[in-house]
Amino acid sequence: MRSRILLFFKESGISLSLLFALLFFLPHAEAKKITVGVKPGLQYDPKLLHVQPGDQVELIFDNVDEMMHNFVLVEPGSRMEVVEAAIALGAEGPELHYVPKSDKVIVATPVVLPGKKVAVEFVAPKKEGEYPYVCTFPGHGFLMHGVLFVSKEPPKKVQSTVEDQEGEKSAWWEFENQGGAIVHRTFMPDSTPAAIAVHLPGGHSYCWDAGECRLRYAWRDGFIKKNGSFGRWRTLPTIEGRVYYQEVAFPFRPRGEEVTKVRFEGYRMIDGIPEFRYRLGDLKVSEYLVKLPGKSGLIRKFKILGSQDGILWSIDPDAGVSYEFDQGKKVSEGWLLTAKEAAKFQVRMEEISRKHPILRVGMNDLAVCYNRKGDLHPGAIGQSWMMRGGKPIVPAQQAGDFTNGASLSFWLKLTDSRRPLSNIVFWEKGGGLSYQPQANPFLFDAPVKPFARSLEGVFEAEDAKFKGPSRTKANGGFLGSGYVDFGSKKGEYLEWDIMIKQDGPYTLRFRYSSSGSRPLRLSVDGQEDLLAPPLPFSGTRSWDSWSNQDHMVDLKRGKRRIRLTSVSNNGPNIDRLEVAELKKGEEKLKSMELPVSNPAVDDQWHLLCLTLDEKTEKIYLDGALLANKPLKGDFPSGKIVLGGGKENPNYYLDELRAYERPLSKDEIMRLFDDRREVEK
Amino acid sequence: MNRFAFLLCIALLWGKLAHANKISDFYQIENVQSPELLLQRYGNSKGGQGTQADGLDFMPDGRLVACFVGGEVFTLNPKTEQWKLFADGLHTPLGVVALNDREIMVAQRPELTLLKDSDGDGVADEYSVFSDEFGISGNYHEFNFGPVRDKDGNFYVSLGTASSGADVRFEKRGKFDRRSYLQRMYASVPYRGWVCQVTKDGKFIPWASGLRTPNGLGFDLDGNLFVSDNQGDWVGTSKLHHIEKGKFYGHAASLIWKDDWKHGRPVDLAVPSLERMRETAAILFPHGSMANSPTQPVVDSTAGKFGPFAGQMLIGEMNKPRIIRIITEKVGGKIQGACLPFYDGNGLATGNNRLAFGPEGKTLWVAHSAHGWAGSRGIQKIKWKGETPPDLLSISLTRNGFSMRFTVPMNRDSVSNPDNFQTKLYTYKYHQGYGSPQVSKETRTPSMISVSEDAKSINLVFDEMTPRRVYEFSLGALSTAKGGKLVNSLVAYHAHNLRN
Repeated sequence: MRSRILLFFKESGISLSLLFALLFFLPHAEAKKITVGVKPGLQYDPKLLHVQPGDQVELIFDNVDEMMHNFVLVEPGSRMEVVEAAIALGAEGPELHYVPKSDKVIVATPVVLPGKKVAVEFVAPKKEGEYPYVCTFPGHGFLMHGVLFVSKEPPKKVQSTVEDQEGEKSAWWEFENQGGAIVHRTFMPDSTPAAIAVHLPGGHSYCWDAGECRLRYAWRDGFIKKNGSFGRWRTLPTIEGRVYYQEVAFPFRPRGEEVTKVRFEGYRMIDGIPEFRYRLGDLKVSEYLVKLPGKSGLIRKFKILGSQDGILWSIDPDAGVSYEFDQGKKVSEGWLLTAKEAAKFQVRMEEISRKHPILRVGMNDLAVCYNRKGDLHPGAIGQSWMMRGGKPIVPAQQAGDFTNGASLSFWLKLTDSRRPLSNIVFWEKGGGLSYQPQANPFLFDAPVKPFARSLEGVFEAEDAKFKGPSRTKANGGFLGSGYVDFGSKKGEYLEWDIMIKQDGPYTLRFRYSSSGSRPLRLSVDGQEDLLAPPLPFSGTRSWDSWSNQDHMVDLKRGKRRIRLTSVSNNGPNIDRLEVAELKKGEEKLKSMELPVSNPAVDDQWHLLCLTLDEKTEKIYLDGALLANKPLKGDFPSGKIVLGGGKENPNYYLDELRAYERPLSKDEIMRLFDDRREVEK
Repeated sequence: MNRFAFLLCIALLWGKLAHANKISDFYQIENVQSPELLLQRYGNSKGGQGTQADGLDFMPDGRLVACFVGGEVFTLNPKTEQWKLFADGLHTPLGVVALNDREIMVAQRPELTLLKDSDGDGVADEYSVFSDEFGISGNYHEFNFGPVRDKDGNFYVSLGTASSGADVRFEKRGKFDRRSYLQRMYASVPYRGWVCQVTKDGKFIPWASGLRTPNGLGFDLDGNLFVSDNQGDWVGTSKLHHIEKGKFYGHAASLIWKDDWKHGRPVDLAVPSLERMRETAAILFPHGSMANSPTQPVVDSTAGKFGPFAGQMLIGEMNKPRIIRIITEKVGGKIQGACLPFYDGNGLATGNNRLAFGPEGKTLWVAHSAHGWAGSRGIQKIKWKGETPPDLLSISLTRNGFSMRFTVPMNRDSVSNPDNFQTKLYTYKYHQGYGSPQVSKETRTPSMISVSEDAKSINLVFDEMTPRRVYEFSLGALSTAKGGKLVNSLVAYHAHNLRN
């Protein structure tokens, strides 16, 4: 028996008045009677229906399932939007039977209890089309839906239409996404360790930081990859998808106060979606986030109780979204909400296409692409990565579309500004940024002249293996990132493994400083010339004055081990080993001095930005335009890669960003100011 | 004739088997089906790694509560034997306490969290912070162990130190202090290496310091709190500590978080000055032979429903398929005592991380995990069959030796032979190095043995007793009055104090 009948109807097919009306059922002579049931596993039975345009329809929704469901008929193509809008109702959902106020809803039943049925009567749309019906009960809408065909001719091949709508599922989190959100507490990048990763119905995700009680960033197109087994979780998860929003600081404060003390109180699940609760000073705050229905973005619903003079929200121009508040007013410092307004308001944040970098690597922590202990160092902002050559590093990233322009931005600190760096950061296809110690120090997509081609190689002492001496940078004038200081024991050694390409005579040149003669014995592959005296390493003028000790030796092809060993209780400071092949007839290497022509940058942190638009390629150093050239060739493409070039000396990288558009001069200046903010 | 011989053989074999006295003759072990959802989530391919269980308790209505390595909390309905997901997405939960049929307290990395099923549908909808007044550096090794609840309703958690095999995160929660950073296991954020009390109204009180990886908290019947610690730096061999407020238990890293700490880096202190501050362990588990990673102690509160060991504690072990018995007594004002295997192999898995007695008192539930180290997964339950296992029931220090009591009458000859009670004495170094060899090793044989009338108790007298030593006995040569062997043979008594 029907206990009550609710009729929602749509007028004239354009404007909508959603009517919750309790009516007596009046049998209609011409009504087409349709019954829809439920099958286990969140499915309507049947999943396909057919009516004629303008038919009078009596639909009986018979909920034979064990769960509560409703039946909502929507405009073609609007199923997801309505489902997301239903979720966004939050605490108001049950009262509205999870039917959002939307002109996309044609007709809807209330929520029907298990074992109950309800009938609705409506006029089928006059326009032919495929009208989805869906259960908007939280969590059901992604699976439980069907199609009402409104057409004069009954559709022929229909069975596969619905079933093919869901794509292939593979990631661990995807098959879970049947109920509400996935709430997963785990370590996350760019957050305190008390992070909460949330994957919302509708496919968007965010990282909420319980340590700082705020949203840190949001992304779409996926969730997280955990990068570990149930072992020791040494590696941070990576984000699968595209980050489109980053919140650099706590977003609001009580008006006229500086309150920073937060206390996390936990979260409660409302229809499977978490509502976070915390204290900001004396304020009692709750935040509930849902996907922005039908659009890329989030709705953040706040309740802030206890404020005296209201709260002030600061708007970040670089956040990657547009903001829309349902309360309050714009003021010069941001958005102002009175105490009453703050008690319940919502912020709609919609992604601005291409605004946020496609890739941002903060380099404050190690990551799965770069997990070498000891390579984290103080950075321009937070910490940085020391790049040591070797294999190029490919951070986890979504494929970028750089056909509308491109930008790169990163902080760079050289350890040896006299040596060039090729492909500091580059695209897989289309070049990267390189450095050369000349007047135009930075180049895009152009080869830099490799350092001293005649040399087999340059080997820094501080990167070599040693036992006894210590690595230091106490005295100036060294090359590379430091030098090695022999201690006060006999038998201390310093040892390089070098590759020799062909048999022949070579010069080994040791760059050193010493007060007085401090000889060292040389061995090659453990063999030493016992008859020859040790290399003298005679006195240089001072400890920060460097000279070269040359030694000629025949070397065989392959890996050779060059070792210097102290013969008494002292030794010199050794900066590096340079190995050069002697050409035929050359008895001695004439000049191996480094190419030095006033490098334009020093060994401090510098912000480097590259912007490419259709016509020009611009390079900015610390916010100032350094080069402006017509763009040659196509835009770059492929992944962003760090640290190409085995011959590069060590260098530090921080705060890498890659954009799918040219950055404006203002944006570049703000990036440059970020460091000043931090230094304050 | 042939038939007779055959029957005789059977009879002899039967007798022989009976006298082998396996623990599984007296206790029955059973695997518990894991929640299907975990197999779906994590697959069964790698042996169902997602079914590693790290916490067990029972609700008043009889439902088992278990937490799992991926962050799930499930309940198991004893009537329907159906698992139900109660809470999800927690960060390495390592223990649960069911407060009632709707509330569960769980320790996870970021906090002590109260899970509440407010509408009674069997699923938590509130995840409230009960306490988070401690730091997290982001180092993977900063596990939070517990909670356990005392008779007054207060909770205790212990906070593991960070591993020098990994660094801290740039952003941390809590104050960062370099005085305890990267020197072996370290405590660079507050209260790492501490046992902490959280009162029933949520007040956080740092309780005792000096722990390394205190993976296991529990009480004896008198309400004394015990916490295990794992062999490593400063911990010569794994230990069980009797935890008292304000005391320091030896691992130096945590000392910087004492209110009045003014000494710079704890590792720079001379060992003798740390030794003066240190409270020694109640129980030492000989590394290798007894346990490499002891876990949660739980007292046998079944008043005999689980066999003859009521009132003693049981503690799990990760590396071996073993559950250990703990026998304690107070000597010279200090709780000390012995450890011996209780259940070894015979169907028991490794990774015995959490233990709980079922509400009816007959069943011990065991949660297994590994976390990338030695161990296994899943839940097992052990039931007493009702027959008394022949075993050492208790051991106690006397003025000049030990008294031992067995569960069954013993063969008088075997327990009168001093050679069967030859004891190995040794101790472990207290130093920053990783673990310690057994040092000051010697062997002693009792000079006199007296046997009680019922042949169940003996008294061992030694010419000389030395304090601060482990006395290890091997009881493999003993036989019972019926001619069988004991189910276990190894026992190690930590005689820190001697009786005057």
